[in-house]
Amino acid sequence: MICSTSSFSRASCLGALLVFSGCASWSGPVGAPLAFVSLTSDAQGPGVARSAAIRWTALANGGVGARRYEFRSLNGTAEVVEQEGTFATWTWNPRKAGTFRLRARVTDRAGAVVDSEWSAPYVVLPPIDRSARVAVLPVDNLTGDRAPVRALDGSLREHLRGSGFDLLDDESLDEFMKRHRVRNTSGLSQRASRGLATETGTEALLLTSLVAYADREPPRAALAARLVALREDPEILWTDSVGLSAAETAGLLGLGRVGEAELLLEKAVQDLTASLVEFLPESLPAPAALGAANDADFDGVENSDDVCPDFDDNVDTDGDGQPDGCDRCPADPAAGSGGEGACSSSDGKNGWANLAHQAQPEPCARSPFDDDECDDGVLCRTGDLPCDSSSEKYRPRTFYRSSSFDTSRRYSVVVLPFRNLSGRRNAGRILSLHFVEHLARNAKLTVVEPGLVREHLLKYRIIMRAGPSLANTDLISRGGSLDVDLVLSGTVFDYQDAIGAPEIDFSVEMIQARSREVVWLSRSRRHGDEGVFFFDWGRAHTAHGLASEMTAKTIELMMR
Amino acid sequence: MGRENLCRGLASLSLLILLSGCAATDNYIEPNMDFASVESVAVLPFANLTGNEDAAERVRDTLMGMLLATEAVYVLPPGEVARGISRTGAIPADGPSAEQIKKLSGVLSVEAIITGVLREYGAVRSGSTSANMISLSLQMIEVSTGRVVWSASATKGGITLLDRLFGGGGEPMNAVTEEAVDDLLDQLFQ
Repeated sequence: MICSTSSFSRASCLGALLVFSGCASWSGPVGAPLAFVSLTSDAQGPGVARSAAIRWTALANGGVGARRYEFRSLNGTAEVVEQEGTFATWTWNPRKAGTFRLRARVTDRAGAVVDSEWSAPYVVLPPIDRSARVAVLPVDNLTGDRAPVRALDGSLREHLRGSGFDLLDDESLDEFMKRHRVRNTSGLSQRASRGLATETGTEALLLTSLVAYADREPPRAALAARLVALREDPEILWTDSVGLSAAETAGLLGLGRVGEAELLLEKAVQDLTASLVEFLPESLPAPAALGAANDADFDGVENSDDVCPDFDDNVDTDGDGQPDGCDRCPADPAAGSGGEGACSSSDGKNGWANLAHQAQPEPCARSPFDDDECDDGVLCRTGDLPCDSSSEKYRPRTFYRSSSFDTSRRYSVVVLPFRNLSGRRNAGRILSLHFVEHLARNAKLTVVEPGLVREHLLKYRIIMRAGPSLANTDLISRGGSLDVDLVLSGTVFDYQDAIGAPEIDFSVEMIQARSREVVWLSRSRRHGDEGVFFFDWGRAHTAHGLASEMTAKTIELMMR
Repeated sequence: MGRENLCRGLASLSLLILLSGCAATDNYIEPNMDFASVESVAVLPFANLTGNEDAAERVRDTLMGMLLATEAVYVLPPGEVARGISRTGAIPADGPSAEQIKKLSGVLSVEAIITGVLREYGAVRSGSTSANMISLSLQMIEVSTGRVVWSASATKGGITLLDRLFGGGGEPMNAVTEEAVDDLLDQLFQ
């Protein structure tokens, strides 16, 4: 009827009909559709982002009602939600080295979503280079027995000096430790860290722990180290560990066997130094020297010829033509080129770390109550993995991950010393060091330096005989200077590294501070000889190596 | 004659199988209990009747992990349970009193608590054969009423006929523990 009157055109008639018929779910004014205008930063163009904050602004127009903004970063394959809310600006404080791209997502009240393009890459460099002054604290002995820590100290310093590091001299360090009454060398408090930086001009601290050392057959040695930047809040820049046994160095007919623990320790020091040298650039290049428009990952290879985008094509440890960033087994030429993927722990830990870059199979679709569908002796409960052989090894026997735990976000995490119910002295501290190492490698996580955690626990007199209570969690996460999202703790039931095959049994619990909820609980247990049928194929020779693989697998599942 | 021998043989075999297996369960479920109303539970430290000092804590950790993994109930972290116990006073070895349960519920804010008794844990030996074995009983107490709403026990492992015939030493202790806990959870969710 209304359309039959001559005062309305057909188009306006249709519009009026739509409005009055209630077809539109939104009752407010209808404007232009949501559109992304720009994502801009206050940096001087893409290139180097080093220690300095960069302010990003997302601009959108149109849409319905108030808009929500989500800023995401991409480092390799790890995409992280950095900030979400009604703010159209975000201050990015890059904390980890890598090549990052950034983008924003805008959502309006009607649910329309628009994404910006990924920004040009930003190379985030470590805040220091090899010319920075580094203090090397005396080695923390976690072996539970006597060990040549003084000789190890000397060897470590010698190797670092040989690699071009500017080390704080022994007298100055001794003076400082005496003045500040520093006895514990597993980590420094915030106050001591600041004192070390201001009084001696030190920029970073190297903390080393001797995890295992045994002269008796088979000889073995294990070392863990981390480099901590002495900023306002000390932060972990690099962490790595090495575990060696004479049995695994034997090779063909036992010709390569290193039969003395001291030599193994020396080799471990060499490996750790090489890892640190690889991480820290010799000198930081000027921003202008980095990158070019057609070389997005700054490796000197143009985009069109890039074998492994976002990674340095020149780093190829096994020389198989496959850069380490895209090589499943970077220390195994056969696995890299042959593509059979049969790399073992002896192929280098990066073989497992780089799995994130490979296509991940989808989890099995199955009932959460299903038991052991893979028939691998693992009781499968939630978030089960596919039944492929690479996933079975080292993964937790049982695990729970809360559905409220969003793994796409960035978190800060505190690792508490694990409870130790095993017969091995310091097993709780060793396991917590493994978790610090592997969590720090995860692009989505920022791990609080254990020295600060220790200071915090002492300051608030927090004693946890049965793990952290919710009140403890509040105190640790919000009560002081730590301000973290997640509190990780655990219990070590077995840490067998003295005789026979190694055996590790531990449980891990992670509480989200904001919700005061257990978001992760798992139990991992493995014997070094498990799954070994032919000769020593697949055998874990050291408890350190076994614990490292189990920890890595736990975190991979946790953050999946 | 042949059939009689066959029957006798089958009967002997059945008897042997019955006697050699150690698996046994018993179960009580309060018929009027609405288990869907239980959203969170606290697992108290188990009474440990074995000679192994840490055994109860090992088994409790396994139970807590597997119970949480069912996603049917939320299990309070052990540190929080310890805080509740320290606030309400020590729990006697034979279990909490009704008053203690009420106090605990006030501190922990849970609908139910689980108590347990670990009766056997470790290797059992018969002649030259040995195998791992566990015997565990659990109770669930509704905190609002103080009633036991579920009780069950499980015994797993032990020396089987195959162990006697061929040796082998049975399954690892942790595997036996998981079997027992899994059996108990099956009884809880049946």
